[in-house]
Amino acid sequence: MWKRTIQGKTLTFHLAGIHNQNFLMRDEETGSFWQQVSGECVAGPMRGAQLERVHNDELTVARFRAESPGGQVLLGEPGYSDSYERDWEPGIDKLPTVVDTRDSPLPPRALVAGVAVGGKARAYEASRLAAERVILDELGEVPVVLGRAGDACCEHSTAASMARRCCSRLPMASICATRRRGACGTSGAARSRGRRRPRGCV
Amino acid sequence: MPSHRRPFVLLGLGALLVALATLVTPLWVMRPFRPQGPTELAVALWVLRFGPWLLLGAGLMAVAAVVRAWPGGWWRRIGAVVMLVLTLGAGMLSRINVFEKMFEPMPAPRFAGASESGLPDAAIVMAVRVGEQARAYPVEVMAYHHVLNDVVGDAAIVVTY
Repeated sequence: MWKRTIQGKTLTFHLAGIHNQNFLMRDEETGSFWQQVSGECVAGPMRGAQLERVHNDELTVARFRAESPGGQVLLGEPGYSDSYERDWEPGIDKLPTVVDTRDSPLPPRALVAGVAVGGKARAYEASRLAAERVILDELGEVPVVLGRAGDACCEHSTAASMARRCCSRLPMASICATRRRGACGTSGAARSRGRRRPRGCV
Repeated sequence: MPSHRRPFVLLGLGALLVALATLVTPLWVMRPFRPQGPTELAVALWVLRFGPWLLLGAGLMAVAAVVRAWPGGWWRRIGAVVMLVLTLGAGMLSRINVFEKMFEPMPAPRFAGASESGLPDAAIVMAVRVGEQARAYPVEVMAYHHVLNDVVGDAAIVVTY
């Protein structure tokens, strides 16, 4: 999710292409092309510009309702209900990938929580996070703590406060992962699943 | 007379070739489930950006071919006009955004309260909060449409999945 106001212009984006299984967007105003997963402008008059990330959480609609009683939920377009698949991930898991992961111990579509900080990136398998609850690690010079908040507490603030309790003096990048997929985090957390391109090492 | 025939045939075929290249290059390079190298991607995006100019050139060439062929009799006229029609056809097809044909955009998104959304409790949403306003975008909807331009609070955002 990205802010679409940049350099004084508010852009309107359209789906416009594919780059290594991650989609490209094109804005109406300048005709530039933008990579979805990184927010970087890859071609056109704004090439090199970087969209600002908007923090968002992936959570169940029940939890959203509890946390934001006045919140609004996007409705599907009438007539498109056949196109909306609730359980499409098993199908996606079988599709080929364009990233060579033969050197990796993980299968190409393994669900991971990604942390990018201090110019380095590392991926943590979601199933390991689920089993270990808290992982302490170091990325470059930066100490990192990953906490898995279960279904009952998957929100950034929970993970952050948990991390702070565990190791209050550390600069940290915290991430929490839900049972189903990587969820919320800071410091450029990136997920790699489905059509998204893995960023960093897997 | 070859000296008469050649310019109009070359012009017409050249026009058709440019229009076909404009149509096919981005589709060929950006096929799903294949890697896109940096150079081929740059070429495909260049063709998309400058497609209208390429097509304008192709159209002018095709018209010029008809003008040249006209004094040469009916067969030449028909040949040149067929190439013009094919050129215009390829040009019009190349202006279609196939990605938005496959995954229709949502220009006028509608919202409801979380209780009225009709989603089962376990449905996953992407939630964002700006100031006092909180909005959630169901993954099942975004996984189809992929791109949604929205305004939450005072922030213009693009929701992507």
